[in-house]
Amino acid sequence: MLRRLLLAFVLSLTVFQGIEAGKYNRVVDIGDKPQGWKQLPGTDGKEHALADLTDAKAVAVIFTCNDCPVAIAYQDRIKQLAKDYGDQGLQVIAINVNKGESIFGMKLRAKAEDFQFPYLYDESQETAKSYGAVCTPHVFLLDGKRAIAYMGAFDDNWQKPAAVSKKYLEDAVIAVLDGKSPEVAESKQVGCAIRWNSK
Amino acid sequence: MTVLPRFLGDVLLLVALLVAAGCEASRNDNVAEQPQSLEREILSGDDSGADPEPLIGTGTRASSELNGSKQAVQSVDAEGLQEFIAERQGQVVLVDFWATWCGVCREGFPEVVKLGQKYAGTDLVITSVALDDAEALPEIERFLTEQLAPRPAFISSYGVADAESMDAFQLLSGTIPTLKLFDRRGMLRFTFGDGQPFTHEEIDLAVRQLLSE
Repeated sequence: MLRRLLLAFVLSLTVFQGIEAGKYNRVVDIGDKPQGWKQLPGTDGKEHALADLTDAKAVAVIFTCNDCPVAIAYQDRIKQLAKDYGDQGLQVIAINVNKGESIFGMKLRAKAEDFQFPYLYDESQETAKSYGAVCTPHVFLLDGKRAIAYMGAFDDNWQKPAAVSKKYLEDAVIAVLDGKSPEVAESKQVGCAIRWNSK
Repeated sequence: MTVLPRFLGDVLLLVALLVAAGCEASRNDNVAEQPQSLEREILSGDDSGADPEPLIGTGTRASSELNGSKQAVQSVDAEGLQEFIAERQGQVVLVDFWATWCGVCREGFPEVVKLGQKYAGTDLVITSVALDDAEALPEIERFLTEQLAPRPAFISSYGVADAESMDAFQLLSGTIPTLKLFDRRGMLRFTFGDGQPFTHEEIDLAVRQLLSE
């Protein structure tokens, strides 16, 4: 009897772990409001919090890193998105989440690439975990109430920008800035697995 | 009283495997049909607490498929991979989904090779599927040869990883590395990675468990 009870307990933990929130996200779903980051260092030498972004009509949170080819492939597209929609109320926030990276390396990259948006370091990986981020890049679009309006991939072709047919994030940004819900609220993210600190 | 400690050891092993690696019973990414109930399987399993022995299996294909072969990388789709696994009924199959462009995958690859070396001569079959474009074939070959990687090895016929190819191979989170472990009946029993942290020690434990079944 004891054996069965213990096994039932173990299996109940397992079943709990298997519950999935979004279609492609084990932690959050569309409409959820993750607490967000409260104190993440940026390449600008300042501490950043989601709550500081009071004026933004939408926030594109992009978990990324310095070395994943998929993340790097999206670099120019992220910069362009920030440039195209910044004046309309979009705030892009890039968050490096990988173990083994450094704010020093991030500063070099931010300078070399002329990032015009905050590039933060989530060294504890707690922010990434709270969003259910799994890879780089993994994008989340928060609406004016900081609820998740879209999450998943930036678009449908990481390797060939010219071959993109579905601009998931940009379409979602346009919708949210227009006060609407994105037609596609979730897509499957594709990228390099996050290098986790430990289990 | 003598049974309890050994049983607790079993439970700890189960916790390590199920919680760490992710239990396939609660997910929908089966390549083959899932066992009716993992709970039933575990509850009916041997609870003697003994170390799963022998590790040396009855098959010989595992060793013949490890390393050293000059067999070229073959193109494979999801159906082909299913067939590959189905043809190895009676053996435990570990599939490593990786890509040349994935640094984390390349870093972890030697650990998978070590696993193959450790279980050489058993019923463990290890293979890999590179989620790359065909242009990456020379690099895949070079890397696999350098790593003394298990053969046969595959390249995804869908080309470089995208949402469609990830869906086809049922990589739910869209991330690599992901390793899938199938039991002797071809049932998917454990997935490692797929967006979650994992260790190669956990894979080793799971392999031991499935080889002992």
